[in-house]
Amino acid sequence: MTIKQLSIFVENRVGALLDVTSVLRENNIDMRAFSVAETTDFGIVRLIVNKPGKARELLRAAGLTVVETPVIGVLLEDTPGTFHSVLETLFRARISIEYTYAFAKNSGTHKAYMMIRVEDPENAAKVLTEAGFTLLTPGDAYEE
Amino acid sequence: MYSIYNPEAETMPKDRLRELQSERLVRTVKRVYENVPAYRKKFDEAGVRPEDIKSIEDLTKLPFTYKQDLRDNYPYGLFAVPMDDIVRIHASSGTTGKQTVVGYTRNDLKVWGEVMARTIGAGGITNKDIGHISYGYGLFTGGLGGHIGSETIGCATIPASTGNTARQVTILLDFKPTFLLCTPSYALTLAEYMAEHGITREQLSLKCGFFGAEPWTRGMQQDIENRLGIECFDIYGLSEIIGPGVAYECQAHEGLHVAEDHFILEVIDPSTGKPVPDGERGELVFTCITKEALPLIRYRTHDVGYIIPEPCKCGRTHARISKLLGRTDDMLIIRGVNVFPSQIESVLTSLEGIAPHYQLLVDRVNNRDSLTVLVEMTEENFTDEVRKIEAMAVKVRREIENVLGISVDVRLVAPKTITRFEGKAVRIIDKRKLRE
Repeated sequence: MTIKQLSIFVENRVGALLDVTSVLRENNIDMRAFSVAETTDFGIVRLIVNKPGKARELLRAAGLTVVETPVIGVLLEDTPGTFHSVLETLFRARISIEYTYAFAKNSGTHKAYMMIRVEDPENAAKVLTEAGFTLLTPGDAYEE
Repeated sequence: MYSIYNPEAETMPKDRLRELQSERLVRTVKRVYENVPAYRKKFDEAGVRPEDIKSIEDLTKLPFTYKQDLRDNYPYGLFAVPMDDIVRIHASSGTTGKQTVVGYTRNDLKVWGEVMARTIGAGGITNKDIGHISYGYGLFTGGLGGHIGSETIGCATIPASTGNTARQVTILLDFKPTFLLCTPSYALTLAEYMAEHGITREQLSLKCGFFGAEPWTRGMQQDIENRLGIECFDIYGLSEIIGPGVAYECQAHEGLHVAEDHFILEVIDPSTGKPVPDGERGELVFTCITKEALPLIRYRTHDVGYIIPEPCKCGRTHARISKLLGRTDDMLIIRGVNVFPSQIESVLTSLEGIAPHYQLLVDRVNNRDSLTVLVEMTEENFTDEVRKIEAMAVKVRREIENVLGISVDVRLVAPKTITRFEGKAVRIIDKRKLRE
C-alpha cells in the first residue's frame, strides 16, 4: 500500500518553487501534500498530487528533474499521542525513518495523514496495518 | 585490420618520412623568405638565412610564428602566393582581437581534402557511406573541411551545417547518414534532443562520428558512444595550419596521428620555447611544409598535449599526440596552481552517473581565489534523499581536489542551466577578470 510521491530537484534561487507550482496550476493538478527539504545549495520538493503520472510527465517536459518515490501515508486521529504510537510501532520493528511530513485529510474532519519515507515501504505498510493503523490508499490519494 | 585511407603516405618508413620532411622544409623556408616580406624580416632579425636550414635538424633555428603575426599582417600579409592563385578564404572568430584570415590555393584544397579523407577514412568510411556534416559552414573551417574530406573519399555528403536541432535529427532519421561530423557538445545536444523525443539510437544509421573543434575527454567520448551507439573519432586542426585534419584518431583509439608529411610537429615548454621530452605535456607547434598560400613556420597553437612515443598498433608511422589537454590560454591559475578545465572534465566523466556538463566559476573573495564547479543534476543521479545527493557532491569534490591539488566547491545545479551554444559550451566564468 504505497503512495507515489514526486520528488523534484530545485536550485536554491528566488522563484525556483514557482517553476514547479506554475506547471501544476496551468494543468489544473491538485496538490494533496507539499513539503520541502532544504540544504544550502539546493532543495527537494516532495509532492503528493491527484494525478502523479501526468504531473511527472509535465514537470519533466518543463525541464525539471523528477523522480517518483514510494512513501506510505498513515491516518491519524486528532488526539494527543497517536503519532507517537505510529513511531513506536515502527521502532519495535526496527524500521528507520528517512523523513516524514503531515497533511490534513479533508477540511473539517479533524484527521491528518503522516507521510513517511522508509527504506522498505511495503514492509512498513504491513507492520502498520497489522498494528491496526489505517493507511492512505492510492484510491484516496489520486484520480488517475 | 585497421582502416587506412592512404597506406603509402600514412605508413611510410620513419627515415623516409624524415627525409621528405627535410626536403619540404628546406623548400618552404626558401619560398617564404623570398615571397613574404614579414617572414624575411623575422628571419633576418633572428639572424637565420634560408641556406642555414639544411634539414629538419635545423628547425629550431627558425623563429616562432604567433597569432599576433597574423593580426599584424591582417588580412593577407603572410600569404606566400599572389592573390590570383588564392581560391578560398577562411577566417577564425575574432573574439580577442582582429579575426585571423587564412587562404588556400587550389593545391592547398587538394591537400586539405587528402588529410580530411585520411581522417574520415581512419574510421573505415568508404565511398559507400553517407556523411552528415554538422559543423558550421562559412568562414569557420569545420563545415567545409569536413565536406571536402567526405567528398574526396567519394561519400554522399550532406552539408547540414549547424543549428535547428529538430531538422538535424530528421535528416539523421530520413537521409540515413552513416557518419557524423560536429563538435562533441553538439553531438550531446543531438542525443538529448533524441532522448526528449523518444527517438532511440537504433533508429539511426550512424556507424561512427568525427568530433573536434573543442577539447573533450575520453569519458565524454564514451558518453556519446553510448547515447548515439557509434564509434567516436577525435579530429584535431586549426585554420592557421589548414583547418580540421592536422591530426586524427585511428581505430586503435590511442591518440591522434599528425599528418607529418604535411605538417611538422613540435611540443615545447610554452614559457621557455624549448622542446620537451616525448610524453611530457607542452604546447603544440606546427610547421606547414606543403601549403602554398599560407605556409606558417613554427606556429604556436596554444594547444596543450603530449607525444605518445610508442609505435601505434594501426601501422601508421606518423607521430601520435594525446587528446588535447586544453589551451595554454584557457589554463586557469588558481592560488598559483595551474588548472586545465579538461582535468575536471576527466574526473566528472569517470564518475558513475555524473553528467559531463559542467562550468567553472572562478572568483576572488577576500583576496583569495575560489573555484566553484557547477555540475548539472540529471534524473539518473537524482535521488529523493538529501544525504545521498550531498554524499555525491562530496565525492565529486574530493575526486576533483585529488586531481587538482587545491580545494574547490561543488554545486549541483538544475539540468540545462549551464549555457550551451550549438557550437561550443561555455566552460569558464572567471569573475576575477570582470572585476579587474
